[in-house]
Amino acid sequence: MSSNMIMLKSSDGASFEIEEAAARKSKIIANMIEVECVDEDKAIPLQNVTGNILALVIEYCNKHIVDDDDDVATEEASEEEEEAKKKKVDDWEAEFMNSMSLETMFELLLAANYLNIKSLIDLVCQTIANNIKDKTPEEVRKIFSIENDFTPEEEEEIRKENAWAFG
Amino acid sequence: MGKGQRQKDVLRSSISPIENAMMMPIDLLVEILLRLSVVDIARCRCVSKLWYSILRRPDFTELFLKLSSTKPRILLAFENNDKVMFYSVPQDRDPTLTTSHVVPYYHMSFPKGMTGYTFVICTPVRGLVCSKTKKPMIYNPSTGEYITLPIATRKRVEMKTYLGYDPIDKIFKVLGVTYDDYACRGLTLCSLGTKEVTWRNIECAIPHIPLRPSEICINGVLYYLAKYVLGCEDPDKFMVVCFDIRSEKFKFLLDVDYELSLSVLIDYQGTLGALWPGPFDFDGRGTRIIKLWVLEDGDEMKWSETVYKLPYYWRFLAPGGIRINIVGMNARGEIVLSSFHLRDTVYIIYYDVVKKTTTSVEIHFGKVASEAPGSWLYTFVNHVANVELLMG
Repeated sequence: MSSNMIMLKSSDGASFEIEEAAARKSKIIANMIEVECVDEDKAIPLQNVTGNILALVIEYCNKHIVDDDDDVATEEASEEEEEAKKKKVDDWEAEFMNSMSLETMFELLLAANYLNIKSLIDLVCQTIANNIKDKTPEEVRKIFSIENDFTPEEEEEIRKENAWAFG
Repeated sequence: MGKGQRQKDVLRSSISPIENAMMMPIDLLVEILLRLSVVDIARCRCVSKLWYSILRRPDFTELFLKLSSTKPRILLAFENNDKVMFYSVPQDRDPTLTTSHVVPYYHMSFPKGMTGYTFVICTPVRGLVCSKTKKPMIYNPSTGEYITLPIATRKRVEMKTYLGYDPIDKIFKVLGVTYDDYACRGLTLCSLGTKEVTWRNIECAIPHIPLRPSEICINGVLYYLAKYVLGCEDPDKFMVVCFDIRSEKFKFLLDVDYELSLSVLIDYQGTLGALWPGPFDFDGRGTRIIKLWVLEDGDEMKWSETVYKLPYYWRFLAPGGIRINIVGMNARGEIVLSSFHLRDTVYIIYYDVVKKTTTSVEIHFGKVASEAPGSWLYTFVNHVANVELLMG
């Protein structure tokens, strides 16, 4: 495995050094490396990602860097080992997401989307969905800062249609 | 450090939550909403006009259904006074456990509507269930929506209904076969999703009387068991009726085995299969064999047969006196059996055809079982959540 290091630069000018293998978790960066022949001395500018969010993305990528080797290892590893490994990653992910606010989650989701990191998109979407679980429409509106644009009559109608879910 | 901190603060204040929500591309919002439960979906329809419209978009409901089919559930239904109640449990149990206890998830109850001699419901198709009467009800236990169809006939006949789905035109249709003790009294069909649902008569070359409920809709073709009408050359012969939902044309698999006529029709990896519980006695456990038929060639009427022998201990997986029925095969290829009647504890038994092992899951209904003692329990495998609303 290559241990080449590459530099990423956030929208607010912060620079981060990251192993190429970790950075390749992002399809966008992987493409840049393939196509544009990234200059080793120059940082890749990421205009849509701020430093604090990029730091989280990098933390995630570093943690999941081993995934790519797994394809080879899978056949040899026993079922229990696989399970233990998966549990470890799950626990880490839970801890990782637990430490951030919803606001940060939204920003992280946008960054993961921009950088095209599918597994991170899945993780953040699932966590946000867990946050909506069992919430009332009012609470959901608050979480997403959504204005209620139904007229009272319309809202009552829709609530009536879905009354079973409010029991 | 000081500069970095300041920069962070500036960022915090410059990106307000409002902007974030507005910036959220619809496809990401869809990704989030796809991960909700059906109850949360129902509540989220009340959030805003945008959310309401996203949750009703056909591409959203199709994706939701697809995702749901990767974790199918076992749907349990029974009548309780004038209602029909729907529950479900996960289909894929923990393989490391030999037995387990589950409290079923209560979906909701619906009015029973008009019934025939008994209250009977169809095998679910894409998450929808239809009652088998002259004035059928369509239930969706994932949205709470139900539709009462117009009465198909006022004549003194029985009607069996079959729900089918045409995956090309994406439309549900209900086929009604009317009959009395002597003969088939015509076939009628209606399409759902149209403003005015009406029954129209359709032609069928071979008059037939439906056998006890066992049907399956696979890739736009509805299969059900039937017998010839009286007065035919050989009234003791049986058939599988194949009705193409889109073209509305019938085909028949004629003169099938008597054993097959007693079978449960299943979707066997996309083709028609049937499971026969052997010559069973009334508690269903006098037998230790299950025969599987798979339709290899419909034109040539070629069926393959496999006989499975259940392990000796299978009869002890549920207490004696509890009648157990075959209900189908799950996506993992396990044959699923379930209690025939509602009790405090209902048993679901899985037979793994590869490992030749059986396991059981106990489902605890508790109090509700005493409200409707001895009701028939309908157990359906491969149930998926369909959050599509059929009415405008």
